[in-house]
Amino acid sequence: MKLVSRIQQISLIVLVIFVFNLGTTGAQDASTLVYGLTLDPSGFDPHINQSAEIGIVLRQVYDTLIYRNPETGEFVPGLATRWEVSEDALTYTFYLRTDVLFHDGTPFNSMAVAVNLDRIVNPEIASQKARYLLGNYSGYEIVDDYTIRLILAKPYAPLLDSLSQVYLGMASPTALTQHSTERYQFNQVGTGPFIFSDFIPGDHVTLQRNPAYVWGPVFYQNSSIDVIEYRFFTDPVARSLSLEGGLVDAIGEIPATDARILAGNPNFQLIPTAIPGQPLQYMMNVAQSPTDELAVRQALIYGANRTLIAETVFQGFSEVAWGPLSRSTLYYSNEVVGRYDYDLEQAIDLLVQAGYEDTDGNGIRERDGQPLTVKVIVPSWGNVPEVSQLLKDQWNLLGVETVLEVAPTFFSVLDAVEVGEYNLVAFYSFGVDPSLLNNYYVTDAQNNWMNYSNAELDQVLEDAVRVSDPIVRAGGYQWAQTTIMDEALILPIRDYTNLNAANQAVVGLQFDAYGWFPILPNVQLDRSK
Amino acid sequence: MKPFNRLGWVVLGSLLLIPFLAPWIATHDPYLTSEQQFILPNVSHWFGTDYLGRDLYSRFLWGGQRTILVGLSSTLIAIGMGCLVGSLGTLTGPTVDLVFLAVFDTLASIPGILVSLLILTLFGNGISELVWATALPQIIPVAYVVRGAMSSSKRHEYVDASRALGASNLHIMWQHLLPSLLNILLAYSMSTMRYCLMMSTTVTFLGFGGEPGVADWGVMLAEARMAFRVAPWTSIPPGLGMLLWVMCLNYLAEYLGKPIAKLK
Amino acid sequence: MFLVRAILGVFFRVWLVVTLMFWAFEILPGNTSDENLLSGGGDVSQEQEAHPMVRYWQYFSQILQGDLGQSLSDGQWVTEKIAAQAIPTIQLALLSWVLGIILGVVMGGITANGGYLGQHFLMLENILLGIPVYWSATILLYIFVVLLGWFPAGGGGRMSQLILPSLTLALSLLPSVSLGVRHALYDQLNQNYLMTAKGKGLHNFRILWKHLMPNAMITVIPLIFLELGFLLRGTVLTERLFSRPGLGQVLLRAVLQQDYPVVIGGVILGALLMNVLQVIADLLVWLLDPRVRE
Repeated sequence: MKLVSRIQQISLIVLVIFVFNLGTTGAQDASTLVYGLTLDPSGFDPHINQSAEIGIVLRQVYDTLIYRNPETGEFVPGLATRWEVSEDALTYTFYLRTDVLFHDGTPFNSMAVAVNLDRIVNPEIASQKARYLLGNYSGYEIVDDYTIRLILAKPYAPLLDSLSQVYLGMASPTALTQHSTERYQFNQVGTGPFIFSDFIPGDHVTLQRNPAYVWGPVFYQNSSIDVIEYRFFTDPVARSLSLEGGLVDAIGEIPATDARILAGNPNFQLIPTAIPGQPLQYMMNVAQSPTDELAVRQALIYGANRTLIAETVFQGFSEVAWGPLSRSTLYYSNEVVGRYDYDLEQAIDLLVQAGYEDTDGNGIRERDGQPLTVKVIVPSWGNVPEVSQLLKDQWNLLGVETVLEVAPTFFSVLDAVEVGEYNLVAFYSFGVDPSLLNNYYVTDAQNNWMNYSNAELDQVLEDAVRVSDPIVRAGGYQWAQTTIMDEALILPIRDYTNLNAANQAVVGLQFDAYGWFPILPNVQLDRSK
Repeated sequence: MKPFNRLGWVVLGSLLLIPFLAPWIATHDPYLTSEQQFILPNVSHWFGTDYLGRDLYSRFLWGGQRTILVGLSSTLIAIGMGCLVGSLGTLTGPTVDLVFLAVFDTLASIPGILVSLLILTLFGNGISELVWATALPQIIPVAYVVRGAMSSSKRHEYVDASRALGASNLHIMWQHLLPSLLNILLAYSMSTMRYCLMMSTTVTFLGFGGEPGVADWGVMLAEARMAFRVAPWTSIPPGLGMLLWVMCLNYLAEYLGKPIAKLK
Repeated sequence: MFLVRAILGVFFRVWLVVTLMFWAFEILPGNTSDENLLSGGGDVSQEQEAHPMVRYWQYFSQILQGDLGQSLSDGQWVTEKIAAQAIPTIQLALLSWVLGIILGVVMGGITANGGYLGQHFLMLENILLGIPVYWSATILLYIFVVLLGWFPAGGGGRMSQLILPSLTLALSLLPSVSLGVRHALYDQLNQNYLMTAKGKGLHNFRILWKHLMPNAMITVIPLIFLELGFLLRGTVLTERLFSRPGLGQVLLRAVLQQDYPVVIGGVILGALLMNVLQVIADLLVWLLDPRVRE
């Protein structure tokens, strides 16, 4: 009968398509590690994009001139064997290794470094992070094949820190010229312990071991892994399930509720990792009423029950943040701990004194006929929507009306900020060196979404990046942190803790000094477990 | 021929209107958070609490209101505009009609969910945008049905006769065509509403069409999904609510539609 | 001749979609108006001064050459981007489709037959019609993955990862197929030839399956193909829910990131596909039903 045979035909076609693509995932394979990624960034180029997610992959593909030892935090040689800083701190001379080859065979030398630097500062590529990591960099000078000088316009203490970050990884000049700016991310070539082999956005990235790799930093071990397969798990629900189901060997960003379950399961290891940098916080726009008033800002912080938030949304895995830097960041100051602790009465008091009363009994305070409304830009990642819902409800008790505006992508956050009609915007960024504060608090800085301008703070922050004396820097940052909280510029929520989990076959998984990036060459796979 | 008798369905239907009694029978503020996450149903929280400690019963009621209202309004808009658009073709003559048909076909081939999401990303995330975003993909199918109903030859006779008497297009539409349309539309509107309910909750499930945490069945289902390892029961109230509403609409659609030849 | 007309129809409709897309984005507010619609680059100042008709011609000829432009988010060619993710989606759609049709036909037959079984299956059909796919996905995920551990939670590339999502989608497809089959069967009852069969004294059930079903199926074919088109939409949500890679994810991401070239490319290709499916359906009806040919 025609219909039956048609069904048979269709089934045959279907079967053929399956057989064609019965590709296996590498999970449970003896020398393949399957690692889970949790965010699908809009671009994968380390020089251009700022997402931490890409570093999880690219840290294994690129080497940097120097590295931070994950245990001590000190700088150790990478592609550069040693370096010298001039008296005036304006010239950094790097002596490079002579035995390094890129994955495509191009030799690594000072010319290669130069090409990379030129690319990063080129305004056409619109670098989101790498350019800013270079600070006051103004140019380079090639001394010889394996010596290069970086020249600064003004002293910039965090330069070494920047050069140890994956965003300033060294890419092959041949590959850079061979591919357009947009296409390079699909054909990346570095010098690292793993070779970039295949990339389909949103689906997977595959890396193959680099057998010629002998120039790693001192804390790298020889990897026994042949292939690393990264798969994307943007849906939080699937992460712990996929781990338990054997689909993935290790993955981060496990939702807190699922992490509780995994913690009790002996077949898996939960590895919470503190991430230095800015904590999850709400930055307050001082150019927009009502957050232009100190009293209102303080009231908002006093009225936020952050302990409850840490317990509910983060299941106690994260600590409450009190200032603009998280605990594990360099030069974090204890002075901010406990400031503006939850005090509903104090919050209401402040609002009353500022003249806000609920005159019409609708639960929202008004002043001069204007209701007390705050508008919040809410990025859709990082549990921010949940935290925002809790805040909205908590501020309801203060008589504050909260409007939440969700921004689904990084660019939509930028768009919303540009429009300017917001009182709070939630954000965080990462880094070991507190110089990242400059990008947010200095007058007219790129990301100064608070529209805050304080000449004294500007001076202190700029001085702190100019000197390398740790005592001076610590003093400066202490002042900065306490001043920022005095001015109630931000509502800090929690120190970021990345909830990583892995099955027991993954031995020796540790994360680098920046917290996000696993040091995969040091992982051993023991499938017998 | 249905397992329940008609009375049973009517009772069920009125039960479904309970969400609109929310202002009187809800026990808590649906947005009130607390530290009591994932409480099992008990005396003070009849359905338990969700992951932010909010009362599920009250959220279910108020959420139902919102979801049903969005579904209703987008259905009305879809039907209304569908009628307008659909009748245009018939009234203006065969060539224009053909063009309309082609345009309808093409617009219908664009995935509805993409259209809805596009509208929400471009025009904003509020409830009115949600209503329009849900209604838009349904206007063309309604227009189809309307057009189909109107282009049967009987109608043309009416139209020609009226024209001969000098009546205007609008008058024709009003007096002759609309009443006979109503029957067909009534049945079709049930399936339109079903579609609108599903679509709007799909959109809110994905996080659009409202603030995060707004009381809405789609949002509740998304939240339940996040928590289903620790609290699988949280997905039952909104899911069941949707299910019952849609089943009711189906019954009404079949009941109001043309009688079908019985097999036995 | 019929074939020629049908193919022309497809071209006309797809052209219409292409044109509509262009004008729609011209009218819309936002950053789309000051760049060449299909690519992120190009000399901006020149584009702005060019007359809309000129830009339309550029746009149209570009598409004719098979160039759908570049993605705004990562510069990848839109065609490449879509092609790379097409296979998992096709796998999912086809398997769900086949499952849904088979189950739907069976259920349609049972419900049309009536009786005790038929009534309860009718109830079941109603229930399935009302369960949104994201709810059934959650429930099935919970039962089969968390409780029973039979299937993996997501990802692509392995057969076992395909079964649960296909089942979920098939369940949302099944009721409409069942409905269509049942109504087609009811229609068949009004045909005269039935009298002959009944006259022979055959059992109801046999009448249904041997005589009515084949003819009913022919009527149902257009519906089935239409459902395939709708299925491709259903994959958008299902891929999200089961963390499967595929076109649904690509398009969803593109809409969220306002990556218009990809969205437009997706819409155009989707329209092309739907129209082609329509033609195939019409063709099948023409081939299978001798009455239509006359």
